[in-house]
Amino acid sequence: MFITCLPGIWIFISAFRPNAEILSKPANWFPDNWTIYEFTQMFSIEGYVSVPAFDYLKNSIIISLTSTIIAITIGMMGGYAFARFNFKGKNKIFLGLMLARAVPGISLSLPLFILWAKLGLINTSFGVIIVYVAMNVPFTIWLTDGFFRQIPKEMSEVARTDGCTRLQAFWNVELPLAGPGIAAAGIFAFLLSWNEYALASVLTRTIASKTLPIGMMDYLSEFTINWAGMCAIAVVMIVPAVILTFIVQKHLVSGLTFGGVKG
Amino acid sequence: MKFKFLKSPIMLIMPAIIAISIVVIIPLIFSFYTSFTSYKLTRPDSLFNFVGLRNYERIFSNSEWWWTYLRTILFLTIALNVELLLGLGIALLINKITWGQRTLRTIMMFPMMFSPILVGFQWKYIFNDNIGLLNNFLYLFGYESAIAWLIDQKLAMGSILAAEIWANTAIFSILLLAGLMGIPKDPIEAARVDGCSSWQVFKHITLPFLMPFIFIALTIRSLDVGRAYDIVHIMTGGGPAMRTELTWTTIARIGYKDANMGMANAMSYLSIILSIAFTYYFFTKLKASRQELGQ
Amino acid sequence: MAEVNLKNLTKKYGDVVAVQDMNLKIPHNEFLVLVGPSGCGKSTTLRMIAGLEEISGGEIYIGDELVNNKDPKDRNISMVFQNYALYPHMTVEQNLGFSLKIAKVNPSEIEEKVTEAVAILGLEDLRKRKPSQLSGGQRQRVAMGRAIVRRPDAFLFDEPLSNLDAKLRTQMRTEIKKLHQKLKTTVIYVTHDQVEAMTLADRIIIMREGFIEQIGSPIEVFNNPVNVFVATFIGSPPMNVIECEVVNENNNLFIKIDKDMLMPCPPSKKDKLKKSPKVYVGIRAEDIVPSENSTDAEKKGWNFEKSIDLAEPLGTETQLFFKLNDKDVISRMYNPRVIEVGEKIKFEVDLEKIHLFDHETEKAI
Repeated sequence: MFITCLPGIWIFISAFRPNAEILSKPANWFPDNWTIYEFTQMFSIEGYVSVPAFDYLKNSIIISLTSTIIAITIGMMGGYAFARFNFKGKNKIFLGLMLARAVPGISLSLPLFILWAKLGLINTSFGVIIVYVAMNVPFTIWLTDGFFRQIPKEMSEVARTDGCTRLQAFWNVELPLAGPGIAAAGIFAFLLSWNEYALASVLTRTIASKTLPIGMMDYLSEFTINWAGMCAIAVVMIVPAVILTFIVQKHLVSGLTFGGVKG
Repeated sequence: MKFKFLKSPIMLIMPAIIAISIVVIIPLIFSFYTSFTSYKLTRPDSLFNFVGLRNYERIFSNSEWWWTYLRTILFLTIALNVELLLGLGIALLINKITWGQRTLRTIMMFPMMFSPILVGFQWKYIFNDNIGLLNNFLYLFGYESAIAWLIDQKLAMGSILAAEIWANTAIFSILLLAGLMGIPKDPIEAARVDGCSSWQVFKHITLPFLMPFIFIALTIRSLDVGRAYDIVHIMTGGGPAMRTELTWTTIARIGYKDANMGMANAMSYLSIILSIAFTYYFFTKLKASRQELGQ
Repeated sequence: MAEVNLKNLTKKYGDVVAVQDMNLKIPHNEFLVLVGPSGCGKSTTLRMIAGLEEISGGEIYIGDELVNNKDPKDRNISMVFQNYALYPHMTVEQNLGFSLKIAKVNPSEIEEKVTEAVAILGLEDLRKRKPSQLSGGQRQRVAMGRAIVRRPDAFLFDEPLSNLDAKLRTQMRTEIKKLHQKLKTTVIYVTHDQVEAMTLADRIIIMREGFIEQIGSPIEVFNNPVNVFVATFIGSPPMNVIECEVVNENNNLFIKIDKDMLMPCPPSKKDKLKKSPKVYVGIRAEDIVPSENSTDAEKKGWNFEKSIDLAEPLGTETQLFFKLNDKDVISRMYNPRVIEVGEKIKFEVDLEKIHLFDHETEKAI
């Protein structure tokens, strides 16, 4: 537990101390002067001083949210199909989708970079969003498939004999029941987009589309690192992620363990 | 009738397949093509300079690359095994604890939320020879000469492994804990009555029940192994002297720094095969272990 | 309020035939029970009527309407499932009113109908509860209420009682019967439990491997089973069926019911037995009467004596087990006393009450 938490805590502390103190030797464990200097540098009202964190944050939020919503919609449709229908090649298609996800981002980034450049999608949020949607869809399918599977088939059947169309049955019965699980899948997709680096680092190179993980690299110059600044931006990155994960942790586990096309 | 498409599973899956085709399949086909050319980013016309298998021949005769390939496999094997064992241990421990289990589980999930790039940075910070937490800590105990964790050739790989393991053990322990909690009590009690020692109970009852969960975790992990790129990239950038390069960092270096796309894409293909092989293997194992339990 | 009509109904899963060429007319207000062992096609039939399962061949009419290609929602039926399938995220009243809400009935009317259903089923105090806060029996009632509210043309029940414990099952059985009398609707009820079938049905259909074996009122199928399968399926304990040789001695036909034990052939069946060397003899347990208390003058049927292997006292009766032709046979003794294992007991059988089945076709003779 100690090992698990320590690195995070250390970063958190470091974000609130001046850079000079971090570099001091011997180290002092607790900061003498708490400061929000680095945060003001990033988010000052008159515009940023050190790193345009506000723009990065905005990009991150827009890109992550949009791609999550689209991925969840598409993924949910797929998950429903896998959970409720039997069709030819079902397991093969499922496996195929998963394997598509297994292609490492960096391998994908080379051709994507060239293609996106041709299509004029480099440095646009839209370009990144499409990529994140595709990255997230297989996993969303895995999760939602599991959640829909946990809802007895009879639920939908009884709704349909109660006078619902299949869509009404889905909307009134299955969706509310799978709701928490789908929210969990959504947050998982959100986190993946929020934290992604390899692809975004290639596809976004301007303030207009850079996300936080890429922005973090602004603090890394050739020979020096602004440790305090990096810690500060790390805190900006991690806080939303922590909050979201804690909200859905329970459903996340059950979703992961039920998915994966049984039988 | 409206919404007829809800009756057709293929229509429901279509959007997913289209999205993946655009972002994964088409680029892969394109990169497959470029892997047979001498395409360099700096010289766009070279895209049509067909060189046949030359890129592959070069790679196959490049011992540097094969060392990297081997190192990647070794890296993944060690990481996954340690993560699995550690995760299993933690899960077993937490399962024994009756008090504060929820809190512990929540804390355990902490690393899962960290971006790999953040994990890399965080450990770079900890392992920093000058101001790192670890060296500061050792300093307290009198090791005054700073250890260059990330610069020393032998230590660097270990440091990266530590970061990787820290970041990903959580997935294992969380899933295995869920598995442990789901094991029915009856077979365990029956085995006890039948005279099994606790080790035998673990080996013959608990472990078979956990197998699907182990493979779920391995499958999920194998989907993400490529993310180790982020960690290595920020911690050492492949150095010192390329000793910590994994296939992915090599690809990035050759593709972007040297701008030799054709070669990089050829290498990509070899490492994609590696990723897919891992995933496929675990996925089929997962299905087999589920069948064994009759699920 | 309609009759249900099945014509050549067939269901195939690939090469496996689940229901074969089923023809059936269910008149309005009938309580029809489909019974049979698991995998006999009874649930498949029900689900095809509901529209939850596609039809491979044939036609289904509800009222005068061909419903083959209609969605479940357009068939005006209600279904009660084995696991109740209550909507866990809705309260009891929301569960009951859901179908009306979907049909866009106005709220005051929904309220009225829900109140009525709740009163019929005695659920008044539970209206605001969620399904997870209800007991098994209460859930069962809500599931039935949900079906009532719609006023459907036909109620479909798919093993609705099999998740309840024995006592509750008996109680709910009575309630279903009463409900049917009150609502006067066509009911199609699937069960594997022949007791449920006997007690509830106006008409029973016994199915096996996709085929209808027999259709008839409970008394009919009990008294005149058409074959060995129906004979052993209906009735508890199941009918004793013994494989026997037919023996001709001095032009008199006998059935060799045990070693050194010949039973005269029932006079009414003599002609039919002449040609067959072997026959299945079926005797209900209550038709093998222990005759120790009756005088010789009272004895009319065929008498024999056998030693008892096992006696199971059940209170009102004791079931005696012994062997005929190496086959376990049960007799019911209605004047219980303590029976020792190995004790010899005299039995009497009314020859006109035994059932004979052809050795090859297993059909009743």
